[in-house]
Amino acid sequence: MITFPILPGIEINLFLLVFIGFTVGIVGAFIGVGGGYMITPALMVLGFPANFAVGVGITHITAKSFIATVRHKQLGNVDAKLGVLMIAGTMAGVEIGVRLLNWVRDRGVADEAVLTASIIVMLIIGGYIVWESTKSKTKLDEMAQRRERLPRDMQLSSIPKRLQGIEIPPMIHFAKSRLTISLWAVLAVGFFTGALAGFMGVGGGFVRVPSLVYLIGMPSIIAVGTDLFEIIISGGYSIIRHTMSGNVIIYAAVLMVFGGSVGAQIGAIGTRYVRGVSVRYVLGYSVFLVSLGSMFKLAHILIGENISWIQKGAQVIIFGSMVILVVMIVALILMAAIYRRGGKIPVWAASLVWERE
Amino acid sequence: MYMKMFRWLGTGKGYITVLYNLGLMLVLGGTLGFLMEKITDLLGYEVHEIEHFDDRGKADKLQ
Repeated sequence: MITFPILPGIEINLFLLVFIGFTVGIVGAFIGVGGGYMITPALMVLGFPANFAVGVGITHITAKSFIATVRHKQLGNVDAKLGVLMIAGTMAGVEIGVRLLNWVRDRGVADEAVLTASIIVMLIIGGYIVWESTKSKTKLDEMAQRRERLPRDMQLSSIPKRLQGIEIPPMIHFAKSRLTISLWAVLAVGFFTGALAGFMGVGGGFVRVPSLVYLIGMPSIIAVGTDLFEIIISGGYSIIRHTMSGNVIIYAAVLMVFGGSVGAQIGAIGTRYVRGVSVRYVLGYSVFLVSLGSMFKLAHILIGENISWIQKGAQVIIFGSMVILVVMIVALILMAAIYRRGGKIPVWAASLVWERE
Repeated sequence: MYMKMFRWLGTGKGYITVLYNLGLMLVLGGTLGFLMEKITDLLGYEVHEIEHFDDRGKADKLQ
């Protein structure tokens, strides 16, 4: 157990702190998100007050995303050119999103209404990802039955083709992602996802990754690495904001980074073993997890602050779901390893894993 | 005058804390990232670039 001078009387379990960093490291590096929505409730379960839970989480996310990006770069999963261009649109979008949220609040719209709208958006995004991934997997299964060679990635959205067809100069070619698209389309998608994230009050990785895949047309695994690259920049900005607000306990963040550095290796290297559709499946369920957390938050606001078991229940469920996501990822990696060595895996899993080295 | 100086020092310290936290996370992230690369090299685990597109067939191209 350790204590921090800024939190007198609160003892934090050192092992669990490192363990949270480790598990979020695996999930974040596998699906390309920072994972603030998982870290904040988990740290609150450990005893951190809410503001410190957010500050410590976002601080460690920046370092952890850097570690994951280094590995993803080695794996060829980072389209730095697209990431840098998109971040310009994202930052502007976040600012507009936050201002829009304040404007809506000033007009007398209650927090409950804003939160309900956010939950609906998250359910739509999560639902679409899971629906599309299921359709893609069915198509892959059919190809496998016809003994066709299965691609690494396949997604069924027609939006990328349309967006790439809008030829407003300057048209930019992204060699890593093998696509040519107007700069304005990239900025617009960045702006849209940033505004959505700013309005919902989240980091936005779970909005950006599906946007990179379904709107821009980037392969899922490159979208993961590129988004983590973007998080280094946006996370750095958040460190500045939270440190100025006095929400950061840097030693707690450092301890989590050590756990996250190992977890990030498992998550990033894990992308070698799977098809893009697996990444999207885990991402889809992860978005449902975010909406679940928000639903509990909404229930907490509606029922009243005196009922602390709702808050505790929400934290425990999210903490538990985090472990389930890790189990899903580790199971996929293990099945791929078995399959590559000629072992048997369930038939339904064959189209999820990547069989070649 | 002392109040002014303390306020200036306070602001200065705030900036130092911001720079310290930001710098520490970036340096730690970069260092651990490269260290992990070296560790996997030492363990003999080879990490190659992922084949995102199959150039041998049309199938791998995204729709």
